[in-house]
Amino acid sequence: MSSPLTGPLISVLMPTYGHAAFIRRTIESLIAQSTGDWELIVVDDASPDETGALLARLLADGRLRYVRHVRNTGLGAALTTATALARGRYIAYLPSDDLFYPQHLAELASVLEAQPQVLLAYSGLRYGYQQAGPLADDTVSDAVRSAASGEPHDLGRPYPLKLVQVMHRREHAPRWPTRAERESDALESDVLAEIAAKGLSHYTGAISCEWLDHAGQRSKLLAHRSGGLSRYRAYYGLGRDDWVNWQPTRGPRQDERTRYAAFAIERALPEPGRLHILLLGELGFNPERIVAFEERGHRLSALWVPRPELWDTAGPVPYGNVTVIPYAHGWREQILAARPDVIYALLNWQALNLIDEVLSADLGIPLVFHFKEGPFICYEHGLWPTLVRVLRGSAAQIFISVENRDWFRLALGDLIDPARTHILDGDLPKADWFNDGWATKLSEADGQIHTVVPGRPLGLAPFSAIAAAGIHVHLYGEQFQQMVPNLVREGLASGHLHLHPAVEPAQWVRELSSYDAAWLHLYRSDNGGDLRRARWDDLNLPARLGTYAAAGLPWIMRDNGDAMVAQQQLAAQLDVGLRFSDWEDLATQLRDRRRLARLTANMRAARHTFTFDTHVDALIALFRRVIAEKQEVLS
Amino acid sequence: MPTYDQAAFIRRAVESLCAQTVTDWELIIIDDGSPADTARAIEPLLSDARLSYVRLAENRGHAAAINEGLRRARAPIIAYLPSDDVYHPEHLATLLTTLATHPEAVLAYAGVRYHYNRYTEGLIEGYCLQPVQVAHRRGVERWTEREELVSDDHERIFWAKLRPRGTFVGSGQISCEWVRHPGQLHRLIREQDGGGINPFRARFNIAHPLRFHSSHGNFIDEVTHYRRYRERPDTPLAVDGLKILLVGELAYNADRVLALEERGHQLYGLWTNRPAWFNTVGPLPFGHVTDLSRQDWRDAARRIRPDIIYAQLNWQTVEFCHAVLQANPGIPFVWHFKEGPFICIEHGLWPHLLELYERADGQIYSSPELYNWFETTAPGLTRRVPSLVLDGDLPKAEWLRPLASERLSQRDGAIHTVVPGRPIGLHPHTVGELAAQRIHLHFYGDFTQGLWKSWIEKAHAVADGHLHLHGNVDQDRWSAEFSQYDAGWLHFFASRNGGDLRRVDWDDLNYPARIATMALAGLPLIQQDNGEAVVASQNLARQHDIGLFVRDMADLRQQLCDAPRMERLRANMVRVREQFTFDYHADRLIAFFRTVLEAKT
Repeated sequence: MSSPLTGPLISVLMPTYGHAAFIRRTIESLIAQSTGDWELIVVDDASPDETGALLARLLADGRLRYVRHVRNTGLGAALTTATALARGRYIAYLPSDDLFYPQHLAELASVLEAQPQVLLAYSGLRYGYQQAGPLADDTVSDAVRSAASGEPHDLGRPYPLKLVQVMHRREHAPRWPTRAERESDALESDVLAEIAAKGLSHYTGAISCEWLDHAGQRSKLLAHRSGGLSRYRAYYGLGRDDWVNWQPTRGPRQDERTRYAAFAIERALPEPGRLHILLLGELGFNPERIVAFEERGHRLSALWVPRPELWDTAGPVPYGNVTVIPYAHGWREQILAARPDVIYALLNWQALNLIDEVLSADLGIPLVFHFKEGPFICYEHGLWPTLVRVLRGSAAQIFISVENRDWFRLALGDLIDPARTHILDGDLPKADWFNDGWATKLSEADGQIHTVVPGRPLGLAPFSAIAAAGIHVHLYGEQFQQMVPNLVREGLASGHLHLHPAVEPAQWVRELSSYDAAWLHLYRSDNGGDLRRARWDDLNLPARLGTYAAAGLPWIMRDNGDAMVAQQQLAAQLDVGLRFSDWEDLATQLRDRRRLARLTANMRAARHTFTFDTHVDALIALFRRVIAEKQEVLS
Repeated sequence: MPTYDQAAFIRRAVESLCAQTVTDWELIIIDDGSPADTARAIEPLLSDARLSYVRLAENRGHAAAINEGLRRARAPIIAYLPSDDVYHPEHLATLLTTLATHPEAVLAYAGVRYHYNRYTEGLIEGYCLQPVQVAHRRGVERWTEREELVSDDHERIFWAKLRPRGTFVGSGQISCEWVRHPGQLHRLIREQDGGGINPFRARFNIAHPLRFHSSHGNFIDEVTHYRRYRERPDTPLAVDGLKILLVGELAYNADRVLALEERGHQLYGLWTNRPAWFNTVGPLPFGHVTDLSRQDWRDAARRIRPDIIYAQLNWQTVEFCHAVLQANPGIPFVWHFKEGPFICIEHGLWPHLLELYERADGQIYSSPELYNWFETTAPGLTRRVPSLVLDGDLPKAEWLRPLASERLSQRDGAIHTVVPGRPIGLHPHTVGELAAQRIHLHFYGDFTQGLWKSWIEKAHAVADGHLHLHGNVDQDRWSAEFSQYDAGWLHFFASRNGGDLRRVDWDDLNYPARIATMALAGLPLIQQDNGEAVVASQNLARQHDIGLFVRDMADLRQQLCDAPRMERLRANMVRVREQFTFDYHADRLIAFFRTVLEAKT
């Protein structure tokens, strides 16, 4: 490495991935800087587009250096590579979709030149298309005030600094974590704050760059409702053994290694006589259940939905042995070449367009359609005709409850052939989480009533009435707590609401079995027993049922009388439900320890029926049946 | 039961009828020319003798299908069951009881579930009576059909015709569902629901001009407006005439493309599949353009052999034009873009937009500033192939009409300004400031006014009689109507780019459509004085000396009172107004096409 004396004044670090449409504009804005005393270090984190070719043309400018990673490693690792190559006295950052205004580098450098005690200089920035200010978040008013003072100041807590607005001394270059250590939309601001914490920062007083707001930007993949872990993994082409510790500022968090490492077992599949199953669509909340197929010797391939929801899981997943067929030109030929025995298409409305597309490609492979949520949202999104095509075109249909199947029979008549249907909840957990690490009930220790809700606390209002009835509620998951600030405030004040971080499946039994009972969505059904008038709440079996089953918890639900309500039917069938009319009634029922013990025993006895593993053989039998029928037709 | 292309819905509707507690009914299904799957869905149900099914050979519209049903109906009471809606079991019984107990009533209506989980015992707020709610005594009245008027307001189309025969009475019972889904007819008609004349036309592939009036939109009379074009024959293909395939959408001043046809070129159309209401697509109501179907346009193109593809115009069609570019079998491709790059960035369309310019054989930019800005996004981009600067949505020269003989101000001595569209940048308090300077503001457009209701309320409160609302004005009256004013408003905004092209936003690059509207009326343009900033509309107004650049409303008054200068601005605008028609540039555009063809070969 050259000595700082011979290097340029400023090293501009540019990590980039898949930004061929943006990077020329970005580099143009660097070349237009009023100062020329810089080097640009582009670390191409294995872009799949023509980024490399575009940059090759620019390399005639001796100030540009270009390094390419063989595999995508993530922002942190790319910045580590770039930092190691930097020779300048100062380090600035130019993400490949952002922009400098012409005075940007000169103004930042002059602050650091003039004030040796300042470690980090930052400019103002334009963001969100038309907003601008010292920070890309006008809610941090104290920081904005210090910035406006024009004096060097202590940016001691993690203010939302963006890479594009910052320049710091190279000797204070930070250590960037890998994505397996931590991935977050707050990564840049947190790491930059570590520099700021070591000394003084200074605001240049000018807006001189733009943090470009666009649909595909990294921060949106991390923490916008259009992003999510599954989209992130697909966007960066991550596969087996690529682990992410997913810690966005908003939405569900997850350390993949902690949750899934046990399922990363290499297997030679299929075993003789077993099936090759093509998964088509998305997996929901309990994706590792698919390993149950592999444990029984079946081989999995997958064509995943291209745009899964934030909360949803679609591959590529880091565990198992799933061969991914990319949703890109040529998927049809790739499926035909892979020759799966059966297509298992699932699960929610978001997968319907893809399933419809595959069905209409007429591949000659039988397709089993497993549908969860839900008919009404299909109406809302204009997908009802698509859903009907998929129901008609599939070799068998799996509904999550009898009520669901019967609703479809009313709506579609003989288009639904009961002989071709099967009943199974589509998103059951893997049996591995149903361990025997039972906890002692909290209520045994303090004589109080302790209930739990590890998801959205729908209908738990007014909380004061619940507290007055002497019922404690334990609410799990930061993202759910953020959704109901009023309930949290009121609940904490009452002393009967208790907040806990999200609970991972491995902890379901140990953590949740300490409670007396668990809440379902509270709502009043108005279908009057007429299935034609049902809403989704009436038909749904919420994902949390599997969690409650694992922990042997009775279900708290509003008494909906003679209305047609699927979860009420199921609770009655298993005798695991506390149906109540008002909070006092509920408290009385929860104090009936003998009954509670019976419901708990019932739930524990039936809990295996809530694991996916219990039902895999029946599912495989269904697959074999449709495969045999197809072969009959062909012969 | 009128039905069109609802095979996935119709079984549920019929099942809900079969489950009625009342059994003394007949069901008359009028299939308004649906694809064959509707007949297939119905077929198993027809064993019930109470059902009859008639298929019209071609699509004639909702009202015509109902009228066909009314003609065949034998019962004394008519009820409606649109094929995507649902009755609850006691629905017909409740309505019959209501009519029986109210002999003075001609019509009974039920309460209804709507928007999935909302309920009302009577009318749905913001909507007219929906057919699923209604039963009425049979009569001779008929629904107004599509050839005469299209509207989502059934009151206008039919219910009002029943009123002379008796009262309308509600059952007070919720007994049916108006099932919400994006394919509902009213959503295809109402602009605020993503519908409008273009989505409607495209959905039913209607080749004739429409009279169209949604419950909140402007009244559109294409029959009158385009008669002049339709009644003339096609222009024969000139010896060196080009076959031009228009791709995408034509926006507001769609008839401009006839300027090409009038010059002996042949026009074909291939239209975007999801237009917004203002994205004009075919079948074009003014004629003389032959459409290609989206499914097999490549086969058609092989037969027709177009010389050039002229793809355009706004962001709503970027995806579609990009798909055509990718599938293009080698026809020279010209891309003309208007609004706008930043909304494409926001919607994730930027890679496709850039690729359209990168892979086109000819590039057209809607302003010099847009040309320059695109050059900064990918240096070398604009020099790759021939390029041209031309506003993409200029009106046809037909609408260049005589001006008013007199301005309002000449009559009453006051100052009158006009805003023909959204008063962007004019806040209610700005209207107050105008009033303080005794400057009147005339705001045109009923549809826009509907969207700006609260603005109007607040502005009226401070306007001291200086705010005036007017209905929408069609192109044929632009010149006469708007030339009554002293000056017209462009979007009023403070640019923040400080003269740096990299920092512009859309306000800075845009030529708002109203520039041409006001130019045709010889009207000077008012905009904020943005000094040295890069502002396309400011540069344009400076270039022709047709603009007022103002710091505040006192400054505006002073400038408007400078009679000699205003006279000069008006004279300048009148002198150049022809340049704001598409026809003025048609020969230049054709010459550009020929350059592109030459460069390509």
